[in-house]
Amino acid sequence: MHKRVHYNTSYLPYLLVAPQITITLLFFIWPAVQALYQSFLLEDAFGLSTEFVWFDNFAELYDSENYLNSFTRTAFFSVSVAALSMGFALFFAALADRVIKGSHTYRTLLIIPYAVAPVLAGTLWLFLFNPTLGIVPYFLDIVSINWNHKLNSGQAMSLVIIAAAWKQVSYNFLFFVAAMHSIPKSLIEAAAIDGAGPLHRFRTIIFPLISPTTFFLLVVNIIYAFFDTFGIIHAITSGGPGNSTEILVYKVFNDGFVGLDLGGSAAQSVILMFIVILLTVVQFKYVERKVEY
Amino acid sequence: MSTINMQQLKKSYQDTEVIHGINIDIEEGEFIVLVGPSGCGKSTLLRMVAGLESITSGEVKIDDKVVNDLEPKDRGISMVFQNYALYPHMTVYDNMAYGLKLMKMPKDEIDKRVQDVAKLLQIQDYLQRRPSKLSGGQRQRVAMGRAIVRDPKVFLFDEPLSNLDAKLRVQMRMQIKTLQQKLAVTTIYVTHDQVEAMTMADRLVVLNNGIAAQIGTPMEIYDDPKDQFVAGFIGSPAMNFLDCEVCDESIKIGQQSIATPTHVTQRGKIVLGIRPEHFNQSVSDLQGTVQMIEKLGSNVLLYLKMENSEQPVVIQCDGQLDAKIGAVYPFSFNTEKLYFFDTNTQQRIY
Ligand SMILES: Nc1ncnc2c1ncn2[C@@H]1O[C@H](COP(=O)(O)OP(=O)(O)OP(=O)(O)O)[C@@H](O)[C@H]1O
Ligand SMILES: [Mg+2]
Repeated sequence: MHKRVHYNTSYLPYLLVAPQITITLLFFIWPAVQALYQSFLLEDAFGLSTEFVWFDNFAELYDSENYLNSFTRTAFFSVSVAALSMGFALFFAALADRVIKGSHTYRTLLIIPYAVAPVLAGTLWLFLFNPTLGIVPYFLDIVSINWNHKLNSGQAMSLVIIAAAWKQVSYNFLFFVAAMHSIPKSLIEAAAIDGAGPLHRFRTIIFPLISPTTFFLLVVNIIYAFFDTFGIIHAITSGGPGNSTEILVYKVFNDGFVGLDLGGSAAQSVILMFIVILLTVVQFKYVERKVEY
Repeated sequence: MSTINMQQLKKSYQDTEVIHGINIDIEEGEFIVLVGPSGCGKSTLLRMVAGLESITSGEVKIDDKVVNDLEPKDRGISMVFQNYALYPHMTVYDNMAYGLKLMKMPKDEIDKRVQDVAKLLQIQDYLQRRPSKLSGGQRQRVAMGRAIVRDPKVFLFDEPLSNLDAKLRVQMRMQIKTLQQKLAVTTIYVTHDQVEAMTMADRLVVLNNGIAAQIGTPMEIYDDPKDQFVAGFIGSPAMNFLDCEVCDESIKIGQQSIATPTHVTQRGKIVLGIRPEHFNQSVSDLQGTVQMIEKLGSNVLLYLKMENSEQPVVIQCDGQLDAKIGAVYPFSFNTEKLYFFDTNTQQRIY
């Protein structure tokens, strides 16, 4: 028999979840519905009249080379950010597993970037890479690399990738460390007795065993790169030079609030919404399926 | 076949010493069991031999070669862990082949070895399965297989049976022992189960708080324990200890007494030890109140309360015995099987 606690008052649970529901409705569902509605509207340049145009905004996006370019750019950006930040995080986590002295400090230091707000992170990297004042361009100049991300679109892209990846390293690091911790020590010892060196152990034992975490992080990082990097890009390049760092979410902002094409911008955000829903579904599907070794 | 020697082996973690200088010489093909209560340092000692734990001072030699500074893989050992430590993402076959691949052995040779060992352990049918799809006993055998397939000089076992149910444990106990005799590989086996220790060991090492309290064959240790700890630890049910006072004519146990055996020359306070199986029920110069009765089927354990002693005296009786709780039960010791220990040093005197 199950023992259950019964509350006689039936409104209490509703009361308790009410704040969360209100917030969700007010700040998530309502704007989403608005965006969906707006994406079907065409507004004239002065905002005086609106017209219901069905899927015209989407059709326009489909034909827009600019938008499709932004799509590939975003894909490149996300994959780069995910690869870079996960690569470094994995490396640091592997080291953290071996560090004995001062491991606490080591870990704390690695977690700090996560606490930095995106815009601040962007500004930080902006200072470091400032073509006239920054310390990195100064050193790059010595090896005769001329750094100017305000003119060079490749450099601009590299910089936002680095900044975005840097911020995410901590998060990935924490998950990797936790995953490595959950591998029984005796497995590693058994492999050591079997004659595997540290690198071989990492490749054949540790890495395969943390693969569920790696997959989880991959999805999380891609979502992060898609959506949460707005602040960083805004602070560093504002999407420039040209459109070279204008990823999808930045384009939503640019077209909507700068270009004042509200309908088009709304259509873009609806597409983004479907992408994130898709990614989340993929992730849940995978996580729910008990990982099989 | 290899010899192992441990000389003045010590281990400290930070400032606490947990192994206090252990000397053991193990002969070729011997089955040595390290036994002792939890936390006495069995695993630590074994892991020092394996190379998984650094050696603070002293020496470990395998085949007369000091291995202190050798990596685990270079010591020619195989180890079976308590949790088996099978690689969960590999098939049974790959688990066994992992070490062989690292030895750069040719593929067909690896295959031959794995198949041979699988046959020996009767795990041929599971070779393509993952460990998670095996029962506890099967996993245990795979872990054994992984150890055997490397053809090591030394087997190390750390409580390999403690995760199995009682019946399986008895079966596997036999299998491991038979296998070891067949392969004649020098073996160190850690357990805290003294029945396992008694039944499997060629020689036992009884550890107590990081010290080798006694080393000897199971019967030597059972018949001739060196001190009160060993006497109490080896033998099941455990030996009874009674505080008593030796006088010229009699040994006083509370208000009761028995005649002083002639070889007991020391007088005064002493600890008397008697195993539950060494009581005499035909004579009766002592008595106690029945406090508890444990029926084990083939025999019955009686817990008797004697006045002045907190610990009940445990007597192993015939299975047919009919006793009632609260009744007074007469008994006497088999006087040839009495042990005497010093009250302070706990060393055996007689
Ligand atoms: N890494 C460590 N740091 C500090 N002390 C340790 C460490 N590992 C073990 N010890 C201590 O060393 C002693 C021996 O431990 P060990 O694991 O060898 O015991 P054991 O005999 O194997 O016990 P069990 O039967 O419970 O496995 C214990 O007192 C334990 O607390
Ligand atoms: Mg142990």
